[in-house]
Amino acid sequence: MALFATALLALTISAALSLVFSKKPAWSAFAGAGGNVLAAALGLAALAFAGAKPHLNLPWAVPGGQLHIALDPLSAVFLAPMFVLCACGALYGVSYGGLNRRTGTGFLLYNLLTASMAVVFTARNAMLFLAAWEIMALCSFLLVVTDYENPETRNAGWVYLVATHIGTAFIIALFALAWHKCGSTEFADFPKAFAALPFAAVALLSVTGFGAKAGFFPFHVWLPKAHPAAPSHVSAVMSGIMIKTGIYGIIRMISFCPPPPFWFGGLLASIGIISGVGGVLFALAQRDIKRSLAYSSVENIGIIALGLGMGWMGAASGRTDIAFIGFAGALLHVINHAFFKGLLFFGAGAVYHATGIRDMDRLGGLRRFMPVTALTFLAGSAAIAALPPFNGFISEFLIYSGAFKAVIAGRGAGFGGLAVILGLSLTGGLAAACFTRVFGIIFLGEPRAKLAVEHGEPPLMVGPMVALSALCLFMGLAPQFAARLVTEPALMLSGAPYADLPSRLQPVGLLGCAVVLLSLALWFFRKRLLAGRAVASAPTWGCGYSAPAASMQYTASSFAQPLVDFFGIGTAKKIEEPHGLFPSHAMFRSETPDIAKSRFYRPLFENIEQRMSSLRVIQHGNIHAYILYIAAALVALLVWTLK
Amino acid sequence: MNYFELLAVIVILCDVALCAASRLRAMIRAAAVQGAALGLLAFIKPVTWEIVLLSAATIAIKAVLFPWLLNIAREKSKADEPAPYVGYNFSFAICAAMFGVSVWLSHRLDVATTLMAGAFFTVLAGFFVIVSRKSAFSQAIGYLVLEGGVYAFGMAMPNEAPALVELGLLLDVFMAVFIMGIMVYHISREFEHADMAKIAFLSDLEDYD
Amino acid sequence: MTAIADFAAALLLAPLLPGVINRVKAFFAGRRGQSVFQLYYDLRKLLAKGAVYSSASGFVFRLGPVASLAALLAALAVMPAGGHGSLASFDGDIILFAYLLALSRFVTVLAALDTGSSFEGMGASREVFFSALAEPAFFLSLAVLAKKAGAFSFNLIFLSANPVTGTPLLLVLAALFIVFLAENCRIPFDDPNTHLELTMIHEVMVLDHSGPDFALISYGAALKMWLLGAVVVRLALPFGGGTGGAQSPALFLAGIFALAIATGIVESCMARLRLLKVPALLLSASMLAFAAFMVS
Repeated sequence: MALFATALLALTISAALSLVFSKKPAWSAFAGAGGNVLAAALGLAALAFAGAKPHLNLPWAVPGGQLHIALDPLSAVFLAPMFVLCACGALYGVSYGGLNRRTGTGFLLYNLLTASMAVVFTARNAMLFLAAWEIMALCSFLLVVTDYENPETRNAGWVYLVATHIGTAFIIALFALAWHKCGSTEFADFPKAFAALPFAAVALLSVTGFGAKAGFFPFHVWLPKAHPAAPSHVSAVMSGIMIKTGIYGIIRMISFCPPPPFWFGGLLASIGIISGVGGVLFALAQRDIKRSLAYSSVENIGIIALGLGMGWMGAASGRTDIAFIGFAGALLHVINHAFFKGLLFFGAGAVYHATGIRDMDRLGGLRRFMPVTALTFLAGSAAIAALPPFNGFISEFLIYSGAFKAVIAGRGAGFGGLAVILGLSLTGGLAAACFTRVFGIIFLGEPRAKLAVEHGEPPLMVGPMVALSALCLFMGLAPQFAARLVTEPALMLSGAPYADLPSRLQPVGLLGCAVVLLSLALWFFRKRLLAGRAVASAPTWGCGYSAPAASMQYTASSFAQPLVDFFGIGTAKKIEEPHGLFPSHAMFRSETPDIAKSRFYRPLFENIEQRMSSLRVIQHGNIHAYILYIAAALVALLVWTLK
Repeated sequence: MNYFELLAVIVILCDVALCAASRLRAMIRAAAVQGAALGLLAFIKPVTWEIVLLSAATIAIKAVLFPWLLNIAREKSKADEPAPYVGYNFSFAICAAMFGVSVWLSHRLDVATTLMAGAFFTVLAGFFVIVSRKSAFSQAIGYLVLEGGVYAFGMAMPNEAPALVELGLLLDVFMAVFIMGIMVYHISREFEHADMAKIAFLSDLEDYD
Repeated sequence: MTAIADFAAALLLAPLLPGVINRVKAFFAGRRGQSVFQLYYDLRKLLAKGAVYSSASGFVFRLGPVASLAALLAALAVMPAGGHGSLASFDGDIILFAYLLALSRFVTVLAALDTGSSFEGMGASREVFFSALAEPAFFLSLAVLAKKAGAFSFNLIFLSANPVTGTPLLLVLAALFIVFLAENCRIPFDDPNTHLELTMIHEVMVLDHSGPDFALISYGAALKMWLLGAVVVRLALPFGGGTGGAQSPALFLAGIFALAIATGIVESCMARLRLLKVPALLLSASMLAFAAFMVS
């Protein structure tokens, strides 16, 4: 525990140092990134050598609170990827953000964000949790609006701030209820309180409150706004790990409840299917790389929810083995998604850094200019499409296994399992479509527009990407190690073990190795065959057309068009047809607005605004009247308390 | 192999085909095949002369007579589009949902046979076709299928079903569809289309002639 | 040992399947047709050639055929594509099988996009579209098999003492046959004989591959047909219940070539569907599997 506390200390001190040095960006970057990497090393060591006394309990000045943090397997499973990804992001951020007057504040906020997430994952006291939660929200908000001159960025930050605080309101309501029942803000007393509360209330409050942070469909609207606006290393951390605090919160709260009934698993699985399919469809429809990645985070959160749902459905039908596999799959996906989504955001950031373009339809052929980024992005794409031999497959494999076991078990769990299989397979196929598109359009073929590729590939940006892609491959080839990471927390949630998970995953890893080795063998076989023969280079076959141009390539929009049209997610098309014999002007434009936003939130907020507009009369800018309100409110409170 | 189960599955698949068909001809064909399957299903009951009669009548009317009449009317009116309010692919999704609901309902009834689920599903599919397609023909087909569903209920119930009631019901639907067929035939002759949405203006009872 | 023999037989005999299909189609067209060994001749010729690479393409294009075939070979290891069990078998190998096929498709699609050709981009787009719809149908069918057999490993499913029979079997077979046709790009989904790039799906994606690369791709396509055909055949034919049941390689071979003949007949009797109609057929495969799940 001392190690962990030191890690927190390192983060806060380095945050302060980077602010102090903000006049000297290089020092500040060194302090910030160095502190973060050091903290990661300390934190990972703390996880590896968690002592016998994993609690730290300090008195705290704030009433009702206590600085009580503890490390348990569930915390560890979220902390491990957090430390890795945040350290990678810190290094990456040095090159990505460049050294300027914002470096100091950037690292201050970044390291505070890291520290607050570490506290969120370990807090054992509701007040401490909320304080950390709020610091996390504010730091990430300020990081999102780093580029505050841009009105779109400000708008994104605003949407994020509102969304996260609506979620926080639900969490506060939940904690207040618990406090009301047991008179304590210690998490250790929460089981008593939750036992006295109706389960549905606890479940719905946590799913809504934490779901807003996690980005469940339809609470996801802030993700596609905030992620593209934030600097890429921040998007990577937000998408890779910060949204998982929502998942963590749900699991933590439900673990304080009596065993949840079957419908709760069903609810999470339904959320999972909707988020998974909805998220990936919108990801397919986007042209902005980072927005597409943000929607794909919604999809992956959906997959995690599917795993959790499977787990709780299994537990409710008395099948601890199904529960175990479901939870293990969900938790492993938390780790995996942190790695490959971080990697993909780094890659997208590298592309933006080099070209200044995020619109896929204008990119292309970047493989030539940034080969390492292309290779690592390919690994990330394969991993996120859940393809063997990468890590994404392992976690989905576990969730599928749980679902198949549920199908075999039959009855209610059987239908749940079938729904999970249906959701996963549909999401899987669509994710493959989505990421062949993202990778293929950006990196392959020829550039679609004139590209000015600058900066190349700085080592501090490439390093983290290579490290993360190596992790993705390693966890896919040797899943038994990954399985060990999640065995204990899954055991904690399901209550009973499932015989020897690591050795059951071994054949999957071995066949993954087989694929790699066979590919290599075939590669050299072909090389030997071609040795000494004529190997020519010629233009791509244009099907008889003699003057093909790069602008004639399939674009991201055209690639996705059949799928997007088929699922009818409301793509708006604007066409100005050419007229006359010598048409001078024609235009086609397609755009896919978020269905939840345009059909649900906007009408809702407009309606609220309409109803509230009559209250505007009391807000008229007269300072005297405002002071009168304050005085009146004080007097009223006084009367109320003294009555 | 249980042949009645196979027949029940054929009934179910015909419903799916009906909901997804983009041609009236295909819809009529699906309804006809379903009629034949329903007719043969009558033998799930102990064979009596009533059952034989029911089976023969069902096949004669549902699989031969109606499809024939509807086809004649369809050709006369040169209509071949059900004109859906709901897209065909989305209809598929609704179909799957309706089937799921039907299975769940049959489990609730404790008569969880394929035929019972099929009966529910057929009724729902009939309703769906009636409400989601504009063409007057698909409305007639929808009523036909709806009646098929009710008939399948009778067959799915484990105790003796009054076959005479079935026969009476069949007669009702016969009249209804016959009248609709004549009506559609006349309407289509007058208006060159049989789109229910477009002829709604007739409801203000103006004298068209 | 028998598993290795099956594996080798699959490797050796897979290129016969397209040959048989073409022969059947020729018969229906009143021609004599090419030899059933035509693909072997083609492979020998292609392997002996040099290669031409598109100047737009890079390592992904070169990786495509290699990784695609490697994935299919790994998939063959878990599929009992013969009269016996498979080389490797474990709980969940059905999931790995499906995703190895997805991997093979993924790299092929990327290789197509690497050429920068708009036609190949179009083929790639269609391929991912249709496979995204075929995936649920395949998995729902697997769920039916798993439910009945009480296991989710191919060996245990196909050697189960409690195999899928009756109506559910018919439904699942129909669903799997549709998936088989779709995944192997046969009529009514895709016409392997078409000469118009605009109407192709799979063929247009491999337009720019040549020499040994094209040999790997053609061989991979034949192998994929063998793999997915094996699912249908093992399910359709009575291989006997229990591990002691009749495990006859002859029966399997008869089955898989019968399947090839059936495919040839389908191709001779049907036209390619309009592209807009393809999704409906794939959805109906899902619906069939769903119905099978409900009645089994």
